[in-house]
Amino acid sequence: MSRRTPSPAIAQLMSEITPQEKRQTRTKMGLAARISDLIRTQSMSKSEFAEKMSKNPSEISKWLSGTHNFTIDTLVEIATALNVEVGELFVSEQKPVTIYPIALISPVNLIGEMRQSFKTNTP
Amino acid sequence: MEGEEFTLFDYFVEENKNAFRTEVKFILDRLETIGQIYGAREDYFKLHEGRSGDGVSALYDLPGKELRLFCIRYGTEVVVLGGGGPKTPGVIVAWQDDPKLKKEADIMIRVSAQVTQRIRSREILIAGNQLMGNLIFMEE
Repeated sequence: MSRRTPSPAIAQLMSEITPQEKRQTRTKMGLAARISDLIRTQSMSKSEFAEKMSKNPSEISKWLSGTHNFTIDTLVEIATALNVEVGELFVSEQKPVTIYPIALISPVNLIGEMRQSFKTNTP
Repeated sequence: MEGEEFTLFDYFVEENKNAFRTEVKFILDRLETIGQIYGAREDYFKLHEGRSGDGVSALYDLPGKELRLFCIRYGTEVVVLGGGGPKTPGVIVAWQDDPKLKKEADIMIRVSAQVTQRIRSREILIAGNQLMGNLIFMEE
């Protein structure tokens, strides 16, 4: 059977994440999602966006990974390239989701249970 | 192992929680955000870490950090979490060059192949955000 509750180690680590860190992560991932959506709605490929920004496509991939810490100057450049106000970059659409109260990372089903039944020599 | 309480992801956390505590916490935070808010958007993952078309990818880590967590994405709603390990910049160019990362990636490549086969044979169904059916995998 699949285990749906986090291990004690995971629960401990999760408890160490501060509200500010959570907010920073959500903001970065939401910003990346919004930029990606704006690129798509303007019928641009990521390569075309990279070209418009005079950046290497790998740099754009980093921006869209949701890990990048943007400077204000870069955000202004992005907003200009996408023909939106800077503030619009922070209006991200959230997936309509159902929260499963006992799951660590639902409702997207992140299945970490594979090793439970995966025969391997790893200790 | 069969009947093992720990998952691949549990091992990943146990193996790295001391030496890479900040990175592991960041990964957990990202996974929670993916699960609760934004879904498994393609951009959040480093794609093509396995074989062509098998969906094996790695979750992006903190910039400048190189802790790899291998996953398999099925659209934006289902992610299978695997194991992984540190990938030191400039030392290991590709996961194939590191025995630990190669082992973890190979497991996910095999799981992906078996899931695909079972989806075709209807032993596994993707229903919404659930993988349903036979999720017991044997090492080849």
